[in-house]
Amino acid sequence: MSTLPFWATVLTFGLVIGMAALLLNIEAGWGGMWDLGIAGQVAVGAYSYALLTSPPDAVVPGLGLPFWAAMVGAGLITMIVSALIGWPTLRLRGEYFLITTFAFAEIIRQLIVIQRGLTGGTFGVTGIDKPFAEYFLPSAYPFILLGLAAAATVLVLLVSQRVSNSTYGLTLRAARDNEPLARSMGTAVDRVRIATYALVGLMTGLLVAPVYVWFLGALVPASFTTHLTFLVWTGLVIGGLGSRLGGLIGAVVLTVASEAVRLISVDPEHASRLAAFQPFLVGVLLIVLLRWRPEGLLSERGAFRKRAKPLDRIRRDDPQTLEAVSA
Amino acid sequence: MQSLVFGLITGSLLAVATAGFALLRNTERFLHIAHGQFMALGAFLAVVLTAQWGLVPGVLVSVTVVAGAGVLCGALLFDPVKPQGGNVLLFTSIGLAWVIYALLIAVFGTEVRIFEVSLGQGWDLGPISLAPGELAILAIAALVILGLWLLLNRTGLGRSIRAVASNRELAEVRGVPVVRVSRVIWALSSALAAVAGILLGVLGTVTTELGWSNILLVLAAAVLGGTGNILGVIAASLVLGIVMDASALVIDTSYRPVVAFVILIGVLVLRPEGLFSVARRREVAA
Amino acid sequence: MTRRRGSVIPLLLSSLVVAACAEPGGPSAADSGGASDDGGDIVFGQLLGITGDYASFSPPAIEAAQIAVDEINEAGGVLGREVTLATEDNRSTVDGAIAGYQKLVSVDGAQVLGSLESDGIVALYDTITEQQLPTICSSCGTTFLDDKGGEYFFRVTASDSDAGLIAAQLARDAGYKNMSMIVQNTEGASGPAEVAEAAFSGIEGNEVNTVTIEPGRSSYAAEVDQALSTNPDVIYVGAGIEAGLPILREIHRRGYDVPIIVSPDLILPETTTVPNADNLVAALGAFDVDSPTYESYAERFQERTGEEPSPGLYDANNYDQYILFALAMQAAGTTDGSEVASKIIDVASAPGTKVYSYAEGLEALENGEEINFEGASSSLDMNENGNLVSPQLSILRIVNGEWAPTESVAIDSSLRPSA
Repeated sequence: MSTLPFWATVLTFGLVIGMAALLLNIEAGWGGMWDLGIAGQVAVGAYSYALLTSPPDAVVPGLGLPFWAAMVGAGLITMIVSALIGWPTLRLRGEYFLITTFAFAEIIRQLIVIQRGLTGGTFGVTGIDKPFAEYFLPSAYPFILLGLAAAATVLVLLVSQRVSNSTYGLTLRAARDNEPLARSMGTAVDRVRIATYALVGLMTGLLVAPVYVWFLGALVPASFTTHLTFLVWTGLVIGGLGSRLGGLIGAVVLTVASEAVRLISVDPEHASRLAAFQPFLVGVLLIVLLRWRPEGLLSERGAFRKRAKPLDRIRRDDPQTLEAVSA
Repeated sequence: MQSLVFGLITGSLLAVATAGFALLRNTERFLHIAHGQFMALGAFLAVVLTAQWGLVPGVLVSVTVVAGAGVLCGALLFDPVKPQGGNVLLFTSIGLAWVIYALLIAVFGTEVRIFEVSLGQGWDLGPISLAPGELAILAIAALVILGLWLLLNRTGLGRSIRAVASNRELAEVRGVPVVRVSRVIWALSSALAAVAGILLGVLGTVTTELGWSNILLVLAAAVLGGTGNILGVIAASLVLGIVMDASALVIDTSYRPVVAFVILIGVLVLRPEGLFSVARRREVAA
Repeated sequence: MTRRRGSVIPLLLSSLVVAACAEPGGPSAADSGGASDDGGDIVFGQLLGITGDYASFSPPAIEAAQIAVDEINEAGGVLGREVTLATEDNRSTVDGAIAGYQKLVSVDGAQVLGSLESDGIVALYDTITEQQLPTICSSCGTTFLDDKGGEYFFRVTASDSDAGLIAAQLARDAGYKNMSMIVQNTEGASGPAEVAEAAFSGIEGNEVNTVTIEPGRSSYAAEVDQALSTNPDVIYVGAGIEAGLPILREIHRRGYDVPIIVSPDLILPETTTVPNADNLVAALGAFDVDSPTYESYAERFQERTGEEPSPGLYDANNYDQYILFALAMQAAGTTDGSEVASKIIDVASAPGTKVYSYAEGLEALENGEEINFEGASSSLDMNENGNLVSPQLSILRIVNGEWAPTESVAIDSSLRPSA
């Protein structure tokens, strides 16, 4: 039998995590906003998408919109929710921001469980509208989905590149490296951060969440726990926090490596040991990489060395050039 | 009234767990996510060992083993990356959490385990009911916390720990044996995690998810308590425990987990330095 | 289908290329549900939670499946071909189920799928229907399948609606009026509880107080306190083992001594150790212990594991589903998914010669007879929605430290919501 559909599915999941990691990189890598609430944003986007596409007469009634309209809708809703969460929390720094976003994600998940009238509760939302599914053989659809995921990833990459090369991206990184200085030079740091958070929300709702929903085929709250957040973070840290492509590569390596374990055949009675291998691999990768290659597979320094020379000088050790560059 | 008692039990267990977490946070300056897994490790070891060697020896050995494991992890995994700052330490800790979690599954399996300890039946004391076992858990938690407080405030070792917590470099200059103090902190913190894990296991069940399901609350209590005095952490834990359990009187119980986090966010937004912090410290993790 | 397993990296690259090529609807690598009568082994897929929440159910399920496959092969296999069992872990999560499903179908080439739990079934419903993969569920009670089964989905266990009804019926028949329900916030627990609540409160003069709990807490004292605050004369606990155990002990600790109806998830050896074990009662799809199929199965199960089959662990249901697959495939004369699926209800239900093993069924089929396989878990007669017509339910209590069936009951259909 062919292993291709299996790898297509695994790679699709890898790209979902990879897209989330690229967005997280804008926010955390360049913006210095350590967000542990990714699962919450993805959940908002995913449920928005599902409820916008679900027909009005379904078990969990929705609006029955076509998939592209629902993607736009999910993007806008997630953006608004992110801005609302960002407004009070972005004033907090460091671990306070971290724990607050963590708490928000947990609250969102709990609300999904409790508000069963709206979200289907733990029963979940089924009958997800997958784009173009009717034109293809079901056995070919994993490849179509992979193609869609790849297209979405390209879009996320373009946005990420655009941010990294823009004055806006520069301001973001400057505010991360030396906030008082950035403020003193008239940068509206809070506004830049809220804008970033909203942008990440928009892209999450528009692209990451819908692809994740297509991949899942049905939504249950258990798909949006902190494990999802940690997976995205681990992918980004492995790939290289602050680099342009690191998040994507790290996330794909991580998911592919951990699913490849399935191809090792063992007796069922040893299956639980084998199943423990995935978290083990994630943990060891994190520990080892941080110890011997703390910048990840690709580093921020490397990312900005060639193309944006002036940026390299705006490090903590040399903030004086900030004025010249941002002017 | 009754829910006050329950809240006190929940809160005191949380306090034991959070005290260890806060010790590391204040001295080594990072969020030790793997703390939850040390709790689970302690509970699993104790469940197995108490069944073989009896309650007291089993618990003592488990706590000692976990403390030793903590010291080893601190020396071998965390010390080498310390110069790279709190973020690298944080993610090393997340990595360690995954590894311990995987080892727990591989070694102990995923079945639910229970301590063969009965807490007895509740005595009716006026408006409240309290079982002997619950009283024992409360007493143990109180003793552990009291012991920790005495150690920190009444001994030379405690003075060294507090010195390292308030200013590591200064402490080093003043001749505090920083490395040795760090080892002691790892041992203490891990032992506290094990005690908390065992008490939680006795009250409920022991599963491989024990660590992940408790670390969020520990984080919340630690952040609410602020980075100043250990008493702040304990107070925050008790407040969280009581409010969570008392909330059942006012709103639907399914909202109980949400309550803790809503309080957390509310407090942080209004008072970003924590409920009980004396001095404000900015950008702890960054 | 001729592509062999290659190394990882070229595969990753090439799958992107293939994805691009496959876009215009070109012929794809594998039509997995379709006919592949090309000789070689027939693969029976088993997807279940070896790790995670369902972990304690998986070892007996895997043993039982292996017993079935051995029996099939000893009788000469299906369509003259050997059968192999491919087992995959879904980590008791939805994304695990999706990755595991892809692995089973595309890598292992599974022709049928068994054992998957409720949430995985719900998530994969559309995919499985599209791929026309015959799927039998050995343990899932989800009400989702009440009207959605019958084409590719079948189950050999009672629906949650039945489990809920029987709980209400138990309470009613014992004359209780005031029930408190402690229900975990998960699909498996809240499904039956909602049916029970509706049925019990529908009876004149009855009161129900429902308390919802979220699993993963260190204690459930406040929730139990609230459940006891209405002085119930009977308590219903619908929860997984992890939350259920502390709840049962907490009820005892508060000195509350009334009957406790527990959901099937709590029919496990662990609950026999709680101090109020004598108060516990549960209803469950019972094994048909008098049937020859059960006797022969139980003997082999005991030989392999040293333990008795246990209704709470659904092991006999796991055995039954694979015998059914094999018989249906033999009856269809092909491994084609939709053909096989269309035969499952036929070989499981009357009319037909009653058969009690795969060998008997095979012989009858080869003689051109219609068959009706009587399983080890129940008679397996199904309605047109692939649900059991008359699931055998029995009342279990803890006797001498073990869960034991004490009487069997039929569902009073007057309790069903008049929809």
